[in-house]
Formats: sequence, C-alpha cells, structure tokens
Amino acid sequence: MIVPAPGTFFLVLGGYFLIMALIGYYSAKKTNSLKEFFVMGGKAGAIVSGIAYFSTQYSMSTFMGVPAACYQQGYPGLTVSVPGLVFSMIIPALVVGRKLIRLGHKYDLLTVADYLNDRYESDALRSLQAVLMVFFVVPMMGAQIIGSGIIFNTFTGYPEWIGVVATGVIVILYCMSGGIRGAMLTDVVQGLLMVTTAVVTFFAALQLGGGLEAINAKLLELNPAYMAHPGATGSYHWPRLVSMVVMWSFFSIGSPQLVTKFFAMKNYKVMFKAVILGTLGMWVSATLIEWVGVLGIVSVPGLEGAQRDFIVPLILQKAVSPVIASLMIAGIMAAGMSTIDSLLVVSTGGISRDIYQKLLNKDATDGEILKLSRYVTVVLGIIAILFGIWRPGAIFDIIIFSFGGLTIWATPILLGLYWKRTSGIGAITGIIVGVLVYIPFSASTAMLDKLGLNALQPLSAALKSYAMGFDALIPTWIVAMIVTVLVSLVTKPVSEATLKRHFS
Amino acid sequence: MGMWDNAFEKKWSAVFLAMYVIVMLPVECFYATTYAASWKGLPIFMVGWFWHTLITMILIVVFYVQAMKREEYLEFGTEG
Repeated sequence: MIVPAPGTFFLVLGGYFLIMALIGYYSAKKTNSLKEFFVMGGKAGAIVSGIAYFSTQYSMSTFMGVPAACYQQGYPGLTVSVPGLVFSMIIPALVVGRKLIRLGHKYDLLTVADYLNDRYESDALRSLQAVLMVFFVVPMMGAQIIGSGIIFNTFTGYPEWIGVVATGVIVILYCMSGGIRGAMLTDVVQGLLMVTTAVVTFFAALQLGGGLEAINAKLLELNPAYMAHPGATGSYHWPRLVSMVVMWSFFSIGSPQLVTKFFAMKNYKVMFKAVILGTLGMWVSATLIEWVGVLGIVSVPGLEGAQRDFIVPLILQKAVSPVIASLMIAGIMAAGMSTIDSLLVVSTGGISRDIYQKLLNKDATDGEILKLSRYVTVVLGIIAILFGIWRPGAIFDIIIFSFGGLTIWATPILLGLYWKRTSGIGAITGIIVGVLVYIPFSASTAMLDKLGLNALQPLSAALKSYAMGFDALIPTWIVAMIVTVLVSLVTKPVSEATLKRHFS
Repeated sequence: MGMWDNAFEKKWSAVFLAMYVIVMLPVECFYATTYAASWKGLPIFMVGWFWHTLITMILIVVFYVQAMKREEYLEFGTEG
C-alpha cells in the first residue's frame, strides 16, 4: 500500500496551490463587473474555453473511481466514457451551443436561469432553477472535496479533513476574487496537468507490466472476462454502454456549469476551436487514465476494495521519482478542483443574481451584486467543505446523483430552443415531476438513509427494477419530456414578442 | 442557428447523429461479448472505438472549416 511521504508531497502541493492563488490574484485585478465575474465579459478565447470545458467535465472520479472500476472489470470498464467522449462537446455545441452563444450576445444572458426566465417569461422558473441547482451543486462540490481529503490523508498520514479544508479554501479564494476568469484560467493549468498525469501514468503502467502485448496475454490468462463485455463482474451490459454515451454528451446540455461556458465564448470560431481542443484533451486523458486501471491488473496485482481507488497513485509511486509522483498526484486533485470552481461560480450566480437581484431586490446595482457574489462564494464554499467532512455516500454515487439532478434541465432548455409551444407552466411541471421521480430512482440506499428519506426505499427499489439496465436519468428525462409537452399543450404559450426574439 | 434550419445544418446534424447512433450499436467492433483479438492483443472494441473517435474528430474539423465559410457563422467576428 502507499507509504506516506509528507515532505515532498507538501512541497509540491504547496507550489501548486501557490500558482492557483496567484492566478486568482491576477484574475481579481481583471474582474470589475458582474459580466466579467460570471462569463468573462463574453470574451473567452478558444484555449481557455476548450480546456476549461473538459477539465470541468472530468472530475476526481475520472482519475480514481473510474480507473478503479476498470481494474475490477477489465477493458469493458472503459465503456464509462471512451466510446462516447468524442460527442461530449460537439453534441452540446450542435444542439444548444450555437443558439445560446447568439442569445447570450444579443440579450446579455449570463446564466441558465437568465435564459429560462427570458424564454418562458417566468420568475418562478428562474427561482426553481436557482434553488434546485444549489441543491444538487453542493453535493457535487462536496464529492470532489472528499476525494482531495482521501488523497491528502493517504500521502501525508494527516486527517482527511485537513485536505478537505485546504482544497476548499484555495478554490474559494480564487473563485471569490476572480469569478469565472479565476475558475477558467486555473482550469487551463489544471487541465494540462490532468493530461500530463494521464500520459505519464499510462506509460509507467505499460513499463511495469512488461509492454502492451504481454499485459494483454496475461489478462486473457487471468480471466477472459477482462477482455469482453459485460466485464469481470458483469456490470457493463449494452444498456450501460448506451447510458454512458448519452449521459456525458447529450445530457450535458442541461448542466449549468457546462452550458454557461457557451455564454462566455467570444464567437462561433472560438466554439469550434474549443470543441476540437477540449475533445482532444478528453480523448487523451480519459482513454489513457481509464486504460491504466486495466493495465494495473497486471502491473500492480492483488488490490481489493477501496485499495483499487489508488491504482493511479500506486503506479506513480512505483514507477517515477517522488517529486514527479507528487506533481502527478496534484494533477488528480486538479481534476477535482477544476470541477468545483465552475460549480461554485454558477451556484453563486444562482443565489446572488438569479434569486437576489432578479427577484428580491430588483433595484440592486451590478456593483452591489458583484460584492454580494464574493460573500456568497465564500458561504457556498464553506457549505461544500462541511458536506465533504460529513461525507454521506461514495464519491461516484454522489457525482452520478448530482449530475443527473443538474442535467434534468436538458428538458426545458431543449424544448425551449426547438418547440415554440413549450409554456412556462409546462417547463415547471416537467422539472418538478422529473426531480420527484429522479431522487428515489437514482439515489443509493445509503444516500437515502443519510438524507433521512428512508420512507422512499420501497419506491426506489420498485423504480430501479423498471430501468432495464439503463441509467435512471434516461427514463426520468423521458417522463419529464412527456409531462412538459402534455402540460404545454393545455396551457398558455409565451408571448409572440418573446418567441420572435428566440426563434428569429 | 438550429440543427434543422437549412440544408447545411440538416446535413451536418444527420452526419453527427448517425455517428452517435453507430457507436451505440451492439455490434462486435463497439460492444463484444466474446474476445476477438486485435492489434497487440487488444479486444476489438477498443480498436473500433479508436477509429470511430478518429473519424468523428475529422468530421468535426471538416464541419468547422465549412461553417467558417458561411456568413451566419461570422456574426460575432472571427477573432479567436
């Protein structure tokens, strides 16, 4: 198992945190308006947009939980993201991205709630989006912070909560001072570090195992199920393949931390270049780091249970110098931090702009909201830290649950952009029904227990038995779409003027 | 601009949706329940995923080049 080496680890991690803090300081000097805080003034370039998109999408679980699953399953484990990753950005760009860039530039939209409010002429929908977003974003941030705590504990021997707090404080600092600019600029450094970590670990694992051909021959000898679907424990049947491909691409159109990136893009050329760059980053980092999990079966045999989560750090520790290993492990923490920062900025927008400025105090100036946003960032960051210490479930379970809860908004966004008849009441009803179905459908037994929702356990078990192997998000989305369409057909559509602006 | 606004958008939407559906088909090169060896002993679906990703990446680049020749894609400038 991993031997703690606190000296080197502290030194490298300290240097990494210092760079993040300096970027936050630089971003703070450039951030003096609300539009700068939330969407970089709508002037983000291709490199920043592309790398920020992929590093936001890929989180701590990409570098820990998923390689661990691949270690358990063999090659079918890569089904989690490899077959569909090329669509992670082009599908959102194709379906909603171009329309949102145009609407954002023309009508000064900064957040998803801005779009929904404008399209559906509904303050209620704006409030609902902001409240539900915060409800699901906090666990998502907490899950990333939990991972940082585990890594910190493993490499230093100090308690997890110290790592949780240290990571949380650094992210709060650069988001509070630099808003989305701080988040996206740090994402660039973090994204490059993630790619480097994936490449170095992959070649280290190949070397340890004696080369690709020898590893594959050994895998076949150990267990032929490592080489074919549904994998060694039978988890990757065809419905899972479909779920994973659809989940990380199509459903991203409802994910506020990803959709907001389109509002920040300067023009369509930037969008295309960002799609190409971001997809390449995803292709390299996800494929190689998940593959590492499979190579690790031969390179570092015999890991059981929670030990499997450390397959990437273990390979690094065995194959490269302590300094390089510490830097690459900082790359794993970067994967978590690059997701937390974007979530923190969008959830701040949900409270300070969508709820406070647009509903509670319509006279508040942008300057006042900018100041308030910095306070809200700190408060939400602290809540995420506390959630990380509380730790209500396994990291991957929390991430899947939260991601689904956020992306259910794909329904009103998609219908709002493509079907004129969609009404505000229809959108609200669809979302409420969707969330009510999704929570028992998706939450694990342990999570329902921790949330005090034990009464939902029988319903949860019944719903899961109807999923036919597909992820809960797919049937939930179908239900939400049907409800939205049916209710829209019997309620009043939005005004002609609004439709003209959105469909011209 | 939307996915089905004009012939250009329809063509590219159809191309990417077709590629999207293809990778989800339960055929041996994307989803294999028996081991079929390929390059250096890799399961064939790993190689199938690689070529499918590469082809889709090339299509994205072609789409980008063609789109940038159209007026509506220049609406907010081309500074990148």
